[in-house]
Amino acid sequence: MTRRQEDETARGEADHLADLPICMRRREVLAAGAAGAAAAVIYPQMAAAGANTGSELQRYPRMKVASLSALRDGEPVAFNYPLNQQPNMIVKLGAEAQGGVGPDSDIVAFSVLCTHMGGTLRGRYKHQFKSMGPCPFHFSTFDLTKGGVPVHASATQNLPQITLEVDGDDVYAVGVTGLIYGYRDNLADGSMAEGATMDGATRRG
Amino acid sequence: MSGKISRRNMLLAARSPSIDYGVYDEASDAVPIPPAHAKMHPTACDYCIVGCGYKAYTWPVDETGGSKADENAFHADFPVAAASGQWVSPNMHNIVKKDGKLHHVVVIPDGETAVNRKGNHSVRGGKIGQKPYNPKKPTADRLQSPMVRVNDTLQPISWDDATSIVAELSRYAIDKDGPNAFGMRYYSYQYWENTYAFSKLIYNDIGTAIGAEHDKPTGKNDAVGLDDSGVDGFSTSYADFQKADVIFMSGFDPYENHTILFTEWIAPGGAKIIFVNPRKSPTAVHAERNDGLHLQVQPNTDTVLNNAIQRYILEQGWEDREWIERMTASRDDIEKEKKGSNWRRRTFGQTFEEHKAWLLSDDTYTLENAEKITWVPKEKIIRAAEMLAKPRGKVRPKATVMLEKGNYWSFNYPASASLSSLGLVCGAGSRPGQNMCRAGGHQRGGMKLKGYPLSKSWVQSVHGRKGEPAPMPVNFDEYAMSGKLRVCYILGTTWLDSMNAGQAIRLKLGELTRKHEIYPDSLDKDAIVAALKRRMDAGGMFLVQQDIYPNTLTDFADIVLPAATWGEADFTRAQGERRLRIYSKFCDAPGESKPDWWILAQVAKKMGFEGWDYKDGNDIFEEASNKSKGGNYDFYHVVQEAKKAGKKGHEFLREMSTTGIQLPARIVDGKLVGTLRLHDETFPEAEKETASKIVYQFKTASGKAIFMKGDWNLAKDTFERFRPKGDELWVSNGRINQIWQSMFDDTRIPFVKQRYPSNFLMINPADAKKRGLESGDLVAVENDDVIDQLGNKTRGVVSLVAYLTDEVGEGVTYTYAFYPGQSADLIVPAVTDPVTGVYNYKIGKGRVRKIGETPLKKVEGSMSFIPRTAG
Ligand code: SF4
Ligand code: FES
Repeated sequence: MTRRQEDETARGEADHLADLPICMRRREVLAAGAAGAAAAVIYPQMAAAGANTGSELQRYPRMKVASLSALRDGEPVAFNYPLNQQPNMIVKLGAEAQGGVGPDSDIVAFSVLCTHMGGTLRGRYKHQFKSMGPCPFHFSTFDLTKGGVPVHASATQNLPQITLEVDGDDVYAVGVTGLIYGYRDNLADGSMAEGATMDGATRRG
Repeated sequence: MSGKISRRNMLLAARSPSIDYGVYDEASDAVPIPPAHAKMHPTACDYCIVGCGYKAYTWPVDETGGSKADENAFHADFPVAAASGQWVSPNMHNIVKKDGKLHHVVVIPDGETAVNRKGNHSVRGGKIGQKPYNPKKPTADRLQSPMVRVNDTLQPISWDDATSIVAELSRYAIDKDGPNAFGMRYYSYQYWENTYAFSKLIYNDIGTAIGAEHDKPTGKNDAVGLDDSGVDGFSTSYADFQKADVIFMSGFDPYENHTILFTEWIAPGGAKIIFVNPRKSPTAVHAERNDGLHLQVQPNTDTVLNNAIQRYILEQGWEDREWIERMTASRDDIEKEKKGSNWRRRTFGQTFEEHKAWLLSDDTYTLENAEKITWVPKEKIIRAAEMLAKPRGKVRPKATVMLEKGNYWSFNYPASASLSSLGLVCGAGSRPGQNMCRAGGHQRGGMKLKGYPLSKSWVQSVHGRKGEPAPMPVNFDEYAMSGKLRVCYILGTTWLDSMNAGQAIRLKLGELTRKHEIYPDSLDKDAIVAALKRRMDAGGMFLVQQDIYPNTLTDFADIVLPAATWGEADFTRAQGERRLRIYSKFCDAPGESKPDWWILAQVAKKMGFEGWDYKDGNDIFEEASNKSKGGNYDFYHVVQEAKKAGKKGHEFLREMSTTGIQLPARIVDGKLVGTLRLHDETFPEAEKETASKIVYQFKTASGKAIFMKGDWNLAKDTFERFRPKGDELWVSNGRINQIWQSMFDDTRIPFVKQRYPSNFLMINPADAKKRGLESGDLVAVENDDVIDQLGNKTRGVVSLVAYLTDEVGEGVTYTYAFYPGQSADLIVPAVTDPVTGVYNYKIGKGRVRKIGETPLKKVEGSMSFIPRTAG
């Protein structure tokens, strides 16, 4: 997925809420409707999520998410994985990171759903700090060099990190550490991401 | 004995944990959700004052809920939407025993409660599901059997023997040396059933004057200057904050430590924030981004800042004169205050005119002098005054004034008194949006049959009115260290990791207890009692610890008694809006552990006291309701209504689920109703006969609020003596987001521990550069001027991990206060407030130097060093 696509996804998801001050203020909340309604605006895919397929994957699929040669320092690229409705981003941090791949061990990928209450973190990667956040809902901020550990947060879990593998110039997503917001199981209640395959799938756990 | 540490004493300090460099959270990618028939137990968070509502769902281990709405207890289709309050994070799930059988438990924030609507929560409550005992998790080291130290080894014994030993030795000491031979340090917050029992035993039955709450060396109040003005610290409803135009926050960080109060009530309300704090924390960043103000005050100088803002307001004539005339005390009103018990009001109480004349006559509070002392630029002092009090045309800004420990734990009396008078000048204290209150620490879990007996104390302040008594409470630590205490009972508090000059207390305690030459050498109960009687006769001490986990104190204790806690028995208490709820039992207490009230009842009965035949916690709850009548936590009618309905008080309350009832509880038109706020001038006239006076008046003899003189002269000399000099830095301390004051649990929750595997020293990059420091270096912090409780000059040392950040300015460092083994108080002198006897907890300073590097510097280290102001 290209940088332009990433931007479009971001606009589609966060739209008028992305640029709010850190915490929504009274008047803005009123303008946006109740926060519950605002959430539905952010996640149209989740509002419709009750229509899950019921299919349950037994293993993490394998999916190409980027090319080493196309990744630029500090420019996130969006992708969905392992299910279609699970948004993530891959970024070259320019600094060594836990779980980082590539020649400098600095390429990482994370879910962009805040593990507090699902606020979108898209567009909130801060290259200066290699951090994600603050979340537009309640400030949670995560350190991408250290496995998504919260810098400060109301979240009760690290930001889920996507396990990456490099094969030549291709970067593959092959697994997830941590539970993605909204799900009871990363591999249940949705359909496999487009472009993912069960060839070479990894065992979970 | 200063500086001399015997080898024996060094061995005693062995429990200090090594840094947990290897900790990681074993993150799961799936979680069981409760099936539709899972049993729901209403409860509330165990931690901060906000008291968010939670539901604990339990169900047998061999079942799980499904992803369709009719297959799970939330009636939700998975995946669930953002802000649905229906997502189960893996840290909300655990396995517990219930009625002896394994059960799943999910403890999830309750979207239906009035406190944390939509299931909002902080990290602390959000992962409270990890609190219950699980032998496969780090909670496996729960205390589970009574133990006695024999031949320097803690050995399990029976409850009968353990409680007999405590009772016989307590009885012996009291009969021989009087009630003050017995002293107890106890938590003030962990449920009414327990705290009522403590006060009954120690202040009512034994009658000792040697008692102290977990957070201070005395058994008296906290924000004393606020109390003295007549304002209850918890007089508001959270919705009131949404009606304020401006909120003055003195010495606390609401995002960090009262998270839901901030993210759910204050921030969405849109009031402008004046944030007074030596740290530029995430809340400071938020305030400044939203037309607010951060006053980055020099530690411990809040008194001067509060008075300078007031003085400027008075010079401009911006005070709320109409309200002040109507609501504050005259000289005659002040003279109505009782001699002795209300000596502070008689001494420091002022009418508005007296207050104004005093402030204008003391040059300490001019803008220029205030800037010098507080480091806050005078333009910002003026701006704060304008935001708080400058009328726009005829309309005054609605100002709310709040404080917490950064204020009243600097210089307890003058800081809190100057804050309360600032509030009164702005007309805050009795109306929605114009309130005055504490932000709070723990929840309001202190219920008393009898309070601390000030009349039995022999300590007098030198600051009283001439010829009138000025009683102060006895300093528990000083009394214990002086060797006069025979029975020292420490109940549910990490005494040795939270009091000033903590190393001096440890050294002395060792001599009196474990290091003493007389010790039991048999498991025979009578022989144990005989040996410890001999020790007490020889000037030694018998030390009882009652707690849920071993901690530093366990290395000294003669007897260890295992307590049951949150989720393991039915308990009750109120939160920061005086909202009373039940904390339901949903799992078995591990091993032989018992609720604190039960343990005290066994001891009391064996000591020969009557009125301790409680069948269950509900018996105490109902008894306490009589005593609560007329007070701020009056729940008499809750119990009466329960009785009318033929129910137990606890059961009646359980039916009110996580929303409960705001106290005082009243009967209006035959119905049980709550009370939104205290001192409420908007309280309906027609309901006055249903309420006690504090509901619509201030809590003073006249019902009017009193301007309390918060005089920097009470603090100035101590400040000068203990402020940093030469290459020393301020070492300020307090709580922080994530680990708050819950390390007793958090140290056993890897998700939290990974963020702070060690205590840290936040240091400004410029100060770090001078010392050759990088983030992740190990530093020694040393203070040679740690005056201990007995007046000795001692040396305090602590090693910490450096965290470079501009959150702190040059000259000021900050560390977390309560890290086990690395607590800040080790380097803070035991100087006390001359009016209230409370320690100046924030007067720490020290020299900082590098002593090594830690693996946390490397990429695999779990601790993040990203500045918390990032973004
Ligand atoms: S804000 Fe306080 S009460 Fe609410 S979840 Fe957090 S710690 Fe618990
Ligand atoms: S949803 Fe991100 S901080 Fe609350």
